[in-house]
Amino acid sequence: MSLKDSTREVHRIIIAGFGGQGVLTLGRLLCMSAMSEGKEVTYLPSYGSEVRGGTANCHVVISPDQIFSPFVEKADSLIILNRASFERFRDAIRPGGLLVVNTSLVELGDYESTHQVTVLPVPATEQAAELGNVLVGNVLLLGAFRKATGICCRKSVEQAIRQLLTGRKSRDIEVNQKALERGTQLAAELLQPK
Amino acid sequence: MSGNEAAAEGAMRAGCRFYAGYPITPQNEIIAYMADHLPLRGGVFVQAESELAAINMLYGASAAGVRCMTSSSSPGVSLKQEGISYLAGSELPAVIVNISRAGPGLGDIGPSQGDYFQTTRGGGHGDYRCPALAPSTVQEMAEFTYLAFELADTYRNPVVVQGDGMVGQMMEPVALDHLRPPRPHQKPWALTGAAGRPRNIVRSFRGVKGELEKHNIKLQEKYDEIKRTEVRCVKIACEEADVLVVAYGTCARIAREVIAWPPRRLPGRVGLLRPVTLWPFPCRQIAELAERVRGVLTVEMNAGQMVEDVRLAVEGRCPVHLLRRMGGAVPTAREIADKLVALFG
Amino acid sequence: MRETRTVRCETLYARPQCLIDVPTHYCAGCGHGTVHRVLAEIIDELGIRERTIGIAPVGCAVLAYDYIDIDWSEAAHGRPPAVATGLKRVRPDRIVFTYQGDGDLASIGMAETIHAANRGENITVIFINNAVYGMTQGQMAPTTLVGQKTKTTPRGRDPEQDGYPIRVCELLSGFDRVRFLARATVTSAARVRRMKKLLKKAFRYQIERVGFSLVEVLSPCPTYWRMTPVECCEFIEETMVKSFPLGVIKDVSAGEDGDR
Ligand SMILES: Cc1ncc(C[n+]2csc(CCOP(=O)(O)OP(=O)(O)O)c2C)c(N)n1
Ligand code: SF4
Repeated sequence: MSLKDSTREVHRIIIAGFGGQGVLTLGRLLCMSAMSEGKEVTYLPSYGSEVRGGTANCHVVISPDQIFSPFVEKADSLIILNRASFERFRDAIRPGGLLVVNTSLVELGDYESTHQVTVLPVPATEQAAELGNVLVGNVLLLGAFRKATGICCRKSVEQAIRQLLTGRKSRDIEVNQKALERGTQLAAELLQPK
Repeated sequence: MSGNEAAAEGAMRAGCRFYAGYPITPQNEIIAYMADHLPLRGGVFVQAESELAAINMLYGASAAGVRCMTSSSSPGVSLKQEGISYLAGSELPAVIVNISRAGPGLGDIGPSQGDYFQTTRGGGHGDYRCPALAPSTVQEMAEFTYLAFELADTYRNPVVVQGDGMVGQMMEPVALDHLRPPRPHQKPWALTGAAGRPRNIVRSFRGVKGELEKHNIKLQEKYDEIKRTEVRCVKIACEEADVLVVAYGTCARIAREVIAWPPRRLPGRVGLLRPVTLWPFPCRQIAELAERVRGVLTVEMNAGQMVEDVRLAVEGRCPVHLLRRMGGAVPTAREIADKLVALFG
Repeated sequence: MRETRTVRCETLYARPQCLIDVPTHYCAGCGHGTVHRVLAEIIDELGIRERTIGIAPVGCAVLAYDYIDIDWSEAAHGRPPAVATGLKRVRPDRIVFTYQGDGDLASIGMAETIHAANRGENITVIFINNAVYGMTQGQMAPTTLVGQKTKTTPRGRDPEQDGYPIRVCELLSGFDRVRFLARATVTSAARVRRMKKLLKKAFRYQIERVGFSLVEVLSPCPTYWRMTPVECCEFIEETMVKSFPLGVIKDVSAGEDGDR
């Protein structure tokens, strides 16, 4: 099993959680980072009645070449933030894909034995709480995902965070950068050959 | 930037100086972007009390000779139809962006192409047509909205930008620098006050017997000219194709994905014709290809509306099939490939 | 082992019979849920469940029919008073009410509102004034306060551009055939009880064929006011009531004006 080389191939990602977990922000940060490195990106959010109270998700495609369909049928990577989304999207991944999952809120059960995918279990909500802001769990997961795939440089994500958090939100830049770092570290530890 | 924001930005770059709209999902980003930017760029933004009011505000702004736009989604566009008919009858330029959603009735907010008939047949009462451009990328949302203003002024007619919830909501990188301030059109007919010239009257009413028919003949001549000169479509891998797919907007993007698949997963060579103008429809282009291919598959997010135009264009030269999804559902690339294999494999 | 004792319990407060036992889709702290409950209580107490017909709006309350167990109809955005007119005219013995937001009632549907009121249709209008458009994600409503920031008034509502907030009750009070107009809110238990009293009166008037009645409810929208539910209540009490004074705006009961 090997992950895709995202510098040369198209990478299709589904990101999902409940509204308010920063699912759409995660997707936008990822797109902005990849875009700043000259890649083609598409970002397709779920919208409207689906959002209020329910789950939110977005489809992100990153590619060195022109992207046709922005819809992701079988993802190369899933980033899952809560249990309802895990149930909904657990099979929307190709064999050999990568699942980055918030294990603070998701129990994997026998998933790893029934699915041929690389699983990166990140207790994102707990870790974010340790950093002092549960809302940065999304950026923590992004950090882990980036480290695992090398889909873009860390610098680009740092820059995207600064770009997105302006005005009143700019005071959250620091905690988000910390979350990014924590996610990176966790992924590095998890990915070390045992 | 989202497709909706791109449309708003394209409009402002085309010199749009008046926008009136009423909130409706999935096009709220257009109205929010206009509210935020247009007043700072020398234009006027009005949140109208209804779609009915919005389209009639355009009637006024357009009569004054100003470039103007409104946007809405299907139920709101239904309400605008009376006003659009008046704009066409009075030969007033205006741009209407329709980010359509699934019907009938309140339906739901999922992406849909169920407004194809409403958009291409005129939509309201009387004999009129509006050129309709169908973007399938965020870039085209900006470019086609810009182009819509040019077409509207050139032909003194309302022009529709026909998108759907998907192209409206999705984000992609956009290049805007080439959308330069356009050359202003002369509008000697505009209402500016009859100072030093004979007075102007903007109207669609023709009360004297025979005058209305004359007016209609003139309008039809204009529409004929548009049909001759403004047909736009994109052909991909059509030269060598055994099978032709016809799709626009979101469906075209998904179909384009299929065309790029390895031939072993498809029944021979598949080409894609994507109408960019839904009206005027690329009849001749489709007819030419129909001479050479084994068959045509039309892919639509409605019960089968454009397929009627495709059949009229093909005129029995080859079989025409339909793959449809309704109610906000979007066909997948796999569905399209499977259907092609089932039909032509 | 613990000793068991029989205790006599009396139910003092329960879910109204016609309120369906499902979680609503409203955001936490939203006023719609409270008004639904009160409405259900009134329908139970007046014993009119089997002859009441509701008209749901297009707005956050579009799904009101999922929560109250009576006959309902949908109406196009803004058109409930017209739909109610049709229903009531052909079934004058049924109790017909509309349930509408400020966008639905006072913007796109203003013409229908005014003309149903002017005709004096014998219907009850429940008007939820939350000063924004909830369903379409927080744009300006006709009732948005001066200076209030929304998606379409990013620099705050400016009366020079958008006029002042429309006071629907005061506007309708001039129509001769309008019989009952009142404004209430849901910021405390006492306020809710008061609202119930006014709304019940409105329904009674309809039952007694007195004529057109409307009750406006100042209602919190924590999501698009970007406030906590508690802050919303403070905002209503401290700020919103200045533009929209609470109380009975008009009450002409049957017989008094001699035109019946
Ligand atoms: C003809 C038409 N125009 C616009 C819409 C979109 N729309 C749905 S609800 C709504 C307004 C909601 O605001 P309000 O009536 O104040 O109710 P709230 O959601 O705040 O309870 C609008 C504009 C529509 N469904 N139909
Ligand atoms: S958006 Fe506002 S009005 Fe709508 S359900 Fe949420 S709180 Fe209530």
